[in-house]
Amino acid sequence: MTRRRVKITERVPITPRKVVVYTDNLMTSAGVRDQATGESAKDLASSLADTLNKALVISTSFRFDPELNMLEILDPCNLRNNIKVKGLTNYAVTVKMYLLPAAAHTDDRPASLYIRQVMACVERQLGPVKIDELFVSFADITNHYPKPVNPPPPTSADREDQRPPTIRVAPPNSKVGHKSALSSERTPNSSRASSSHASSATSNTDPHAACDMTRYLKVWRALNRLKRTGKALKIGICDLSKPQLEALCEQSGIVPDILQVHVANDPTEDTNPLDDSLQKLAKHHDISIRTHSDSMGILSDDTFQMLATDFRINERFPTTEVPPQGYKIDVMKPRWVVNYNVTLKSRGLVSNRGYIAMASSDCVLDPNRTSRTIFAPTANSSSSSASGSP
Amino acid sequence: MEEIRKQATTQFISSWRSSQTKKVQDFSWHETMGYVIVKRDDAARRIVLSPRVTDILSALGSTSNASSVGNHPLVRAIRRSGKSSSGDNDSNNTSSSSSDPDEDATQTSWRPAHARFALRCEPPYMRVFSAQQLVTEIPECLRARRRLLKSKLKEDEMLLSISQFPLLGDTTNIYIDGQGSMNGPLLRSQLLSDDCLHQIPPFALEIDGIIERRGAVPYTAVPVFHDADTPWPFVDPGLSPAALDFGILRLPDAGAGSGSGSGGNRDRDSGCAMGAHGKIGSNNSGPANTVAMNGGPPITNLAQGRIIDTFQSGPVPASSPLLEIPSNRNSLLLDSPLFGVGSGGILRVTLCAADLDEARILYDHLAPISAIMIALTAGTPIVRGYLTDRDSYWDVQCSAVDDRSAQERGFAPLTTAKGKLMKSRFGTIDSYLGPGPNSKDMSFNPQYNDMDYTYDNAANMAMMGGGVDKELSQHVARLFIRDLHFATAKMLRDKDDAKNSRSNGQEHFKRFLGCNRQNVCLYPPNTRTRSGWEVEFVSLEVQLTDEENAAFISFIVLLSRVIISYSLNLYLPISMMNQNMARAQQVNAAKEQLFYFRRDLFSGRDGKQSGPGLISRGGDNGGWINTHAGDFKANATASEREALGHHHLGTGSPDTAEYVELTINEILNGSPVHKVTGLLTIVLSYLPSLGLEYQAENDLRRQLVLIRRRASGKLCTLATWMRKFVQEHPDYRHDSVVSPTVNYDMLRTLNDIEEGRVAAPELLTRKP
Repeated sequence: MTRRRVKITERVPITPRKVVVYTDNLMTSAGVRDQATGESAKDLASSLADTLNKALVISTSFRFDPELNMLEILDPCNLRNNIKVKGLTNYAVTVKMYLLPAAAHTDDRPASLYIRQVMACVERQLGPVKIDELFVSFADITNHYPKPVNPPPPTSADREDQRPPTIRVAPPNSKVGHKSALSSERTPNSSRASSSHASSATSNTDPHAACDMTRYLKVWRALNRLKRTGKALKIGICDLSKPQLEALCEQSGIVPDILQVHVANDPTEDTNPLDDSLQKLAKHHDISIRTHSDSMGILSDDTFQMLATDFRINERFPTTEVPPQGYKIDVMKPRWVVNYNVTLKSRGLVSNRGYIAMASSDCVLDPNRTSRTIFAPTANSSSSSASGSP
Repeated sequence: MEEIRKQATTQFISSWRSSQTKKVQDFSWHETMGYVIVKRDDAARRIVLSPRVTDILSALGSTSNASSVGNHPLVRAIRRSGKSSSGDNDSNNTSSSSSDPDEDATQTSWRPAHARFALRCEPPYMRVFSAQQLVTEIPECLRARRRLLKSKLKEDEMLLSISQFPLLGDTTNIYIDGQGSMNGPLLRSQLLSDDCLHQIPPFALEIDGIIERRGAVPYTAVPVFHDADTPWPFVDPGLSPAALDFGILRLPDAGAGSGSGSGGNRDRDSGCAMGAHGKIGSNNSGPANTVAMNGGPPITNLAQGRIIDTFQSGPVPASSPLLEIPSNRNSLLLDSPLFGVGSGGILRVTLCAADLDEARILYDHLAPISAIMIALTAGTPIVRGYLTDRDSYWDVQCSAVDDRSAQERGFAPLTTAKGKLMKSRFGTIDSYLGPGPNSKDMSFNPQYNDMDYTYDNAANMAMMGGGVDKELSQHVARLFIRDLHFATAKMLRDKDDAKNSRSNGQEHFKRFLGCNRQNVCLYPPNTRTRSGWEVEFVSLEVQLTDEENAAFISFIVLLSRVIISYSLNLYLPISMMNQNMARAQQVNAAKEQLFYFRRDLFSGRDGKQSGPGLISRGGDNGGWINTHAGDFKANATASEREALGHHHLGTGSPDTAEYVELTINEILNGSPVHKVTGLLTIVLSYLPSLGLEYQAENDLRRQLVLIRRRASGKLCTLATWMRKFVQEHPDYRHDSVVSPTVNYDMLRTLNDIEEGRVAAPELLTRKP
């Protein structure tokens, strides 16, 4: 069944419905409270809800962008291009894009198409700015990032709660059956490999499999093109382990400027242990190491679907595309999220900070041709994966 | 005096005007630190103060001598003239920051403090902000500075950054090397010998001016800690009002040290105030004591620890909290302004804002934080060789320099004074500035300024006429209500020089600023260094180690960034802020006290209030049970509070009330109970956007861990540590007396902790 789905998605229009949501400036909006809790997933969800509420319920603030073939939902409070061009040189713009599990293309590789979308959307929001630092975070790398060696009990508990769902969600999102099976098989390997690697480098074959970065090369090369053309000054990648970083450099020949690693935004912890060998490697390649404390899954499918249902996005914007016989338009899945940050460097102030989230739906084979229930596939797949994973 | 005031007003208006269009690009700031130098006598197991600051300063190459302090103070200071009593906003120059801490240290601007055993220092320039520098440069710079200073000390001397020498003013023991006799002509104090005072004109004149202006010895009462064997009620054995003629000023022998032209310009009302006061003083005896005191230690405020004067026939209502002679019941008395100014270590942070609007935001929103920071940095549990019932020095400092005349304090009918003044020169702010007239910020509500204050009407009118908005103009006019403590004929003459290049046209105004010190201070742009409006955060108590000091500096600097970035709203009505200040000084306030605080820091900027009301807790048994006080298990008082419930006042409901009473831990680390977002949590969530290197960010977080742990009670404050040390010392007899040997052991241990020879896991995060 999954194999056949591959063929079909190649034939039919890939994404008949695309929605992109631009949030308010989170430095001044009410949603800032959740940001301060340090949980970016919550932050994002609440700011998206806030924007959808303002743009769809309280007022109407959306438009169709023919160029990108997207429906844009704009926060009415957040003016676009609100960086004054005069002061532009003083600002530093940091953009971090999260390629979500659903951003994988037909060949199970995160598609560089999304990079172009991200850049276009960022430019629409911020104006023609030069991006000082551009990060990319691949959901399937980030979600399997090895945890600190001795995590404190409270957070480790939190993270244990958080982790399984993201893993469970991943397989149904992947378009290709056999490859997704491979990736889910790789999951335990990669976490085991990288943790064992920290202690003793006994396993030689496993890390190699875990560190196959070929999936990401396309996107990574696309990022490098942005750097070459001067759209981004520095490019960075998030949450790579040492072997992964080595593999990336080796396979692409492109060394990132910045590696972003996760630190727990946790009060009880004194220091965040970081693999020494990774630090050495970074130093060797002149890679600067930055930190982030984002949640593991920045925007899960479930979260987005909840929002979409709450604000009746599907009903509000019925698509004109007609799926071929026997196929249906799937629910929208978030593909990528962008977090941009405009800081006033010399004064240490953050002047603008917000998210852009894009979701789209595929045409899929209607698994149950008689059923018209739109949520049936999700329910099926999640239940099957839930039963399958233990 | 009036002439100077008028000129100062003009100067302010012109500097305000010229700053209207200016905007400073870089955020810069600097810290001010003060140290105390003590001398160790190992054979006698005694530590006394070492009055060698003058020698040390000259060894450091500081040229601040008698003549330079008075007029144009510091070596490299391009900054204002005036008295170094305030000495806070001097010494910056725009040289680029150097990375070498040792070189940095040698450039430090050293200057003397009022006392001969204390000194102050500032970096030679404003530090241009970068987050990297907070972790790499600051701690190194502080350490290098301390190393440099230590290298100039003698073998038996120690350098301590503590906010007060525990034995200063002890009547039974020697507390300063080469101590002379009391009641000298300069200090006129029964407790401090003149040896303590740095005898250069500005200092001497200022001390003299305070005493003279008040028309009485400015007594300060410090409640004594009631230990098991403390004689109770406690009567200060060293000093009693009776022995001091009830505070009537003993006129000194004619003008030793006050010769240089101060007398002529001094406000004349002190003369008549003195007369009026003499009468009151003698009328005012025993009965009044009992009325005011009712036994037991004062609860909320030092003010309540002193006599409330009941001057029935006067225009002042009897309930007025204005004070005359402090009660000696259960309290120690201090009798010199030197106790309050320039006698101990200090830690202040001056932040330079982009423009006036930003400065107003910082000024307003940092003010409510000061109480929290006092509680967190508390480090003065011992005064005059006694354990006191306070952990910090703020009130003592403020009331020791209280120079209000009897009329201004509301005792004598107003005849010559301009009005009744509610507070000492040093104290909490009287009013918020509010956002500027053009600001869209709606969080300010004039009702926050709910305390009375007196301002100089002539100056106010002049400024309003000059276009200054009401809040700012009243704020400045309020500073102008105070008289200068000394004025030389030269100052007046200088007005002709105002246009020449050496002057920045702000001397007079700066002088007025200098004799007021609030928990936050606003300074106008310096025309010569082209710095912007500056806000100084004054209420930190200096910490023992440089790590701690660096952590608190970092926190204040980052907090200021966060306040502006997130447009935080921290407004508290002034009355609540004052209560917080009083609570912050209680014993173990960081763990045990509740503070009023705004529940939702993010609301209100758009003009919408989150909800009315105040939730206070710990009083009644009504309401719901406080479920989150589990952090305080070890603490008896807090667990009692746990059993108590919350009490709702007014229409406040737990999730919408505007203000809530919170513990320090909840304020900084957040609490789910009232959906309170902790300040420190906000700061931490802001860190990633600075784009720091991994190592730097880790270090910065580690710095902040100290504050987090202090707040959560995992680490104790210096005051708690000292108290515990004294109480566990074998020589301590549980009578609140800190004997010289206890003092010796304590200060030696502190010095060892600072130098890393002794671990203090209960105080520091540092690993041994």
